[in-house]
Amino acid sequence: MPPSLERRSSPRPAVGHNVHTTWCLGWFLGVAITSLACFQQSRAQGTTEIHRTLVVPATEILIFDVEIASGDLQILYGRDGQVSISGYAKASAEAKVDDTFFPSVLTIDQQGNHLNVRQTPSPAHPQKAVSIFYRIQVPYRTEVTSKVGQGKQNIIGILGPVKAATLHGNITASYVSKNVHAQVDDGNLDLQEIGEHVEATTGSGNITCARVSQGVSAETIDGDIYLAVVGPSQASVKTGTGRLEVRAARGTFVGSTQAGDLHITAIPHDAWRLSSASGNIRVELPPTAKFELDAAVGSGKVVVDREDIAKPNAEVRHIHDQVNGGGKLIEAHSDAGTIVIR
Amino acid sequence: MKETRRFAQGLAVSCILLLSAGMAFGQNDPGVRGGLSNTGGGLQQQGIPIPHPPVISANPTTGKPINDNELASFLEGIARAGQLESTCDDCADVTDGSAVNNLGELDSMFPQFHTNSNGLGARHNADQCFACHAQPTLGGSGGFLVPNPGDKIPQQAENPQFRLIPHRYGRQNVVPSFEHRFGPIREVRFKHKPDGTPDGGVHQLWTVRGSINDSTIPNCSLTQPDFEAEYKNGNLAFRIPLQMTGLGLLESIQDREILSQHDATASLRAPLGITGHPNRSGNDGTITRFGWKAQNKSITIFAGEAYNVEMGITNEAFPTATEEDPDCQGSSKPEPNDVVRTDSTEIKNQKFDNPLHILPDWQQFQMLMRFTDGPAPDPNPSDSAKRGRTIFADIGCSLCHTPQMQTAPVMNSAVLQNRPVNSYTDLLVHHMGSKLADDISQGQAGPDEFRTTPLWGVGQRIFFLHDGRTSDLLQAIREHFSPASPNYPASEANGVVRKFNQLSPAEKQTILDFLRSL
Repeated sequence: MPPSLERRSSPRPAVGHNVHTTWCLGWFLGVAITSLACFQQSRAQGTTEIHRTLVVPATEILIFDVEIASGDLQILYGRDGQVSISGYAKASAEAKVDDTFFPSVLTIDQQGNHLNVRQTPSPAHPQKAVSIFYRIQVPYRTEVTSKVGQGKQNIIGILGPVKAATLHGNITASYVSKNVHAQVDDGNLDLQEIGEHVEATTGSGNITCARVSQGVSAETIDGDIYLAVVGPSQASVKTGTGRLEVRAARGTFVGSTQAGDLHITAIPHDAWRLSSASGNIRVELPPTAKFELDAAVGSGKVVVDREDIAKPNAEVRHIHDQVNGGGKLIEAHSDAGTIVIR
Repeated sequence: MKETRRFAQGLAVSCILLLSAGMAFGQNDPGVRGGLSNTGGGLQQQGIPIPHPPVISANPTTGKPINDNELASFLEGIARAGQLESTCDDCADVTDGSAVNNLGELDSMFPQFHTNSNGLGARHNADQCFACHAQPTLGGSGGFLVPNPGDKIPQQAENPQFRLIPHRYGRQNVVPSFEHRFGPIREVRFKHKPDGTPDGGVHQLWTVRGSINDSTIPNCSLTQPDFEAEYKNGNLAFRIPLQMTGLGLLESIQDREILSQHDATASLRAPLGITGHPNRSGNDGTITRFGWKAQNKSITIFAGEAYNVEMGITNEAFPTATEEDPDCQGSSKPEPNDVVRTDSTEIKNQKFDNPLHILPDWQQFQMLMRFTDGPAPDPNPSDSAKRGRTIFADIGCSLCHTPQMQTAPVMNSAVLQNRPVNSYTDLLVHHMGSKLADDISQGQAGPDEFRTTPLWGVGQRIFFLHDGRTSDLLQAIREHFSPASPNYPASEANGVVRKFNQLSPAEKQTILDFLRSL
């Protein structure tokens, strides 16, 4: 019989009381130490919040300037005549935050209808050790200039204009009535339901813009661009294999890619100029659309999949046609990609 | 000597009159909190856009704010409710659903002279939701608007039914004499049909005849009902717009809460002769609660009805047009008009690239109502207002104007569930006697019965009671009193009004101050 089995099968009462007491003491001690450790750890982590409500003139546009060294920032419509600022901080295992955290890093300065909010880095709280989230509710008539070092920005439901910049992190904005200018070095941009013009630039990241009635200027060094239901626009993917996808362009459109594909589906309300280095270009238009087509390739080919345009043979590098009697000029040019017209 | 005596007599009479006036007017309605010039159309008149409806505040019980999807629905709802409707199906000035930017509008989301939506019915009361819901903010109750939007020098804000709506885009409507320049926005119901049987329905004020922005109805020759004759015959019942704010909270109150609050005051109500009962749905028997007679079951039904009745825009809930004259509907206008969007093209700017664009305007409108906050009371009420709150309860006003109810404990929306609603209504209907009776029955609400009007926001309303007969709160209180008549029982409010009348002028003033703080 193996020893362990033997011990297990030993009659417990032989050593009963002492063993049990010792076991209980040990158990209690273990629980106590663990609890204490957990308690200390939870103290070390900690969370803290700040809530401030400011009265602002309801008859004037709020000029809101916000700069956050690190943390996620949400600016959204709440009600007119007041600004509600809520900040939430949570420390990781090796750091701690308490009620002194926000007062030490956050300054809120109001001069009439000008509001400045600044969150500076804290030497006592390394950037990665504390996660911070700000939710700031503002009047509808608010102009925003925002800068975030590391973190996401989300701006919703205000008049604008909005000028938002982030070094590392995404920017989303929606339901802004005036211009939006959004720039990130490393991150994605998602801008929807914008009343005026959008200017979107990112170093590395994707750009999505939808329902921008006065058009978009979008540029990414390396990433995809998606536009839908936009006014007169231009979009450019500067390097790499980033794709450009456009649906429902409502005005002039100028788009370019490098090795990525360019795909546009829309009614040709106005002239388009499409180009790629080696990416393919695909143009999809309604069967009854009237337009003037000028498609040219360097080393690629032109493929036509429509009844109203004569299908070119494989050697053809350039076609020009007045489709359904002609209309706005659609120019497509690719150095080494294929152009498909459907 | 004679002259001296006459002078003395005259002086004495004057003094008595002045003293009487002083006693009678020892208390005054302080008027719209913040002032008319700082709310609604008063702002518009100064070139300042009317504030937008407030987003529902974070749940005070749990701290949960509105979530991102709810907020997006709310904001899309503002865009839809602000749209100015053109008559045909594709003749809006800018692309359907787009904000009107850079065209001189004061607020791109609330255009006044560029249409950005379609579907206005041949008969209607208004051509955009916010036209009748703009006091003190968009989404509020009826107020005033500048009648000449786009002109360099704005005229004084006034009842939009007086000039703006009836004549917008050249429409040739005769403005009835009951729509006053600085009076309430009124819609009308006819009490009886020509044959004497009950009518009760809304008869829309305006037609599209003469519209210069719709080439599809050149032969429209619709005429308005003969409102003057009906008015003269006493056949009109007026209704003014209710505020849309806080309706999601009212909808979130369970029937059991309404009934238990009612039961809790039974012993206090009985001596005062206050009964009250719910209006109930004829389909499922549950309590209906929206509208002057609590006749509508839900915000959704309310929205569908408002689109068809107020704007003549047919929809899934109310799919049949109130006026089907083909000369005034346009040959290409589909019916129902405002429906879930299944268009296969992007012509109407309704691509399926955002689920919010699939829902029709009327449904987004109900989402807006659902997530609009209740009216905010004065954050710094005066001492008089604070005292008035106590007296308001002491004399029994709060037996019907229930200060607070609680929403359902568990709901799909965390921001709506299990939170107090300070609406000052029991959501029940009460007999109000002959003075307020309008001879319209709706569901189980009889001809002299009305829902206890929620008092939240009363501090910034201009007009009171269902027909907007007064803008003086003191008068509104007095109108609650009505003795029994051959046709109607006495008002259930009589006992409380008697107690009010017994208060000193200073005490009455505290109640008025309290009400204006709400």
